[in-house]
Amino acid sequence: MNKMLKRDMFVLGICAVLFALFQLGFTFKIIGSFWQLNIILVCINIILAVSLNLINGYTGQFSLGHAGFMAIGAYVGAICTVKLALPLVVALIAGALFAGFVGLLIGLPTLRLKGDYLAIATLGFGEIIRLTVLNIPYIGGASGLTGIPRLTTFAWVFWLMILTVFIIKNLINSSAGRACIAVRENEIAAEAMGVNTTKYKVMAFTVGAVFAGIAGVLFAHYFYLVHPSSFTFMKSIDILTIVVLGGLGSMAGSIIGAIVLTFVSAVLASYAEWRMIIYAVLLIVVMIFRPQGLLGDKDLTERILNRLKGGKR
Amino acid sequence: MPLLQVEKLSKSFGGLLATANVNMDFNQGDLVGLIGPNGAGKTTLFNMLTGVYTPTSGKIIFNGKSVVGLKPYEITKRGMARTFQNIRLFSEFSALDNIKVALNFSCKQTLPEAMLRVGRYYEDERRITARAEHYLDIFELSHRRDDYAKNLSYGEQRRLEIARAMATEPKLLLLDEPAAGMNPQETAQLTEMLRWIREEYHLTILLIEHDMHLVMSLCEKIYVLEYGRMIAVGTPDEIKANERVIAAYLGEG
Repeated sequence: MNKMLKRDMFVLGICAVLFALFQLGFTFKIIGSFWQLNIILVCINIILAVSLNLINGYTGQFSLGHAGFMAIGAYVGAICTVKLALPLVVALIAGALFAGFVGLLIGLPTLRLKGDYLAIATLGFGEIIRLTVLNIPYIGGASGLTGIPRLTTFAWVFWLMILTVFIIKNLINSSAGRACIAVRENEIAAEAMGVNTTKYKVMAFTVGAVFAGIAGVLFAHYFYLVHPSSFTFMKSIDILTIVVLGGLGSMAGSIIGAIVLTFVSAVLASYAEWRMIIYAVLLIVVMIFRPQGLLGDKDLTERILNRLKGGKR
Repeated sequence: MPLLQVEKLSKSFGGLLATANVNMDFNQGDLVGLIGPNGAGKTTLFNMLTGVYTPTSGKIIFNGKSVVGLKPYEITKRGMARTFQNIRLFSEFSALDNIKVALNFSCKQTLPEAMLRVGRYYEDERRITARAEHYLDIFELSHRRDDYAKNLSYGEQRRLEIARAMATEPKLLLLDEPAAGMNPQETAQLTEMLRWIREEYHLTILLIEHDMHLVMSLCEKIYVLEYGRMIAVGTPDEIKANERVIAAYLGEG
């Protein structure tokens, strides 16, 4: 078990080096502001994708409401800093907890549903959240909430992204995580083995919502404003696309998916009319040649480590 | 007091009466067989016992308490575990992890402890890994420890399912056609294994099986279902001589 701790420390070391390199790049203007924006977006997208993967990939519950939880985080966070003049830390905690709470409330009734029905119900709840926000004048209504201070720095997004990956990875490898995957693999058998399937579905859904909330707070405090149109159904689809492209049930897949798709969107931004076509073609090609996603359900680290040890898996 | 007592248990699906007024009772340590032609309602009965179906009427008293209306996982925690007719393993899990899922409810870690890998996380992992390895060992699956369940041979998958059920530490083990698809050698091996675990763990076993040789040599008490009704109960010799059972299996002359 100590080996695990050593490995974590090693990975943490690599992350620190990466962070230092990027930070230096930003300070000395080696990395331009366009790329800086996209690197920050990558980090936010990783948080979103990894947390959605917990729900859709690992627990196998097809949710389409992730943008809704992101919206809750963004608005609650913005209220904290703009209206109540609280620091970012408080905004992050409030946004995360509130999103988690709503996730719990929505999860309890909807997770009785399966497959397509669950997808439609979560899609509906996502839209309800957005439309509710749209109709509250206190938080700007249709014109959005403006004047949010830019408190999100690269350090915040980077380390919160690392924390998200670390926490969800640990969760997956714990008894609770095995219970979640067992629900995906065979719900009847999981229940027969003493797994309270409802409890673990709701847990995965709530934890996913918490991290979507965090991503929302970071998003709001980077772009100065939050607007209901940022959290439409299409945003949920974007996050889902990252997860599916990377591979449902693969942590490394979500990370690589987020990096690839964020940069593809960035590069294609200058060919606006071609963007959606190329994006669609890319997805079709991946789904034809690798329907299980870029990394399948394998985890990159696990694969490399096993290969280094000469083991088979 | 009997370990399991079933009284007038009925289940109907729409107009179809899958089981009608079924009575059963047996004691701690019994090895009981449940036989009957295809579609007799054997698996339906299992599904009612384990909470997958709610009975239309009737009582199920397990270990002194009614288990009607409980969720399957609650019944499992009370000491009833099962295997499935069509194997239901977690195919993307290793053999070891399959068993670890069954040990899940004995874990004491809280969610934050698991997320941050602190506190009881390591203790739990160490303990349940050791327990899981113990069950792999008993069912002679240690050499397949890290292989995906889907890559195991058919006989191995059947054994792994029993091992997984055993890991929940049941008082009563329900086996739905454990020897289905096994060759005679594997069946003989399984028979020995069942005898052994029953002695070792003071287990009560109820098994559905079509392999008459296995049922007759292993079980002390046999129930026979036909069209949802219990038509006979008795020792293997009584069942072999029972006119109605012979009629049900061979047709009336």
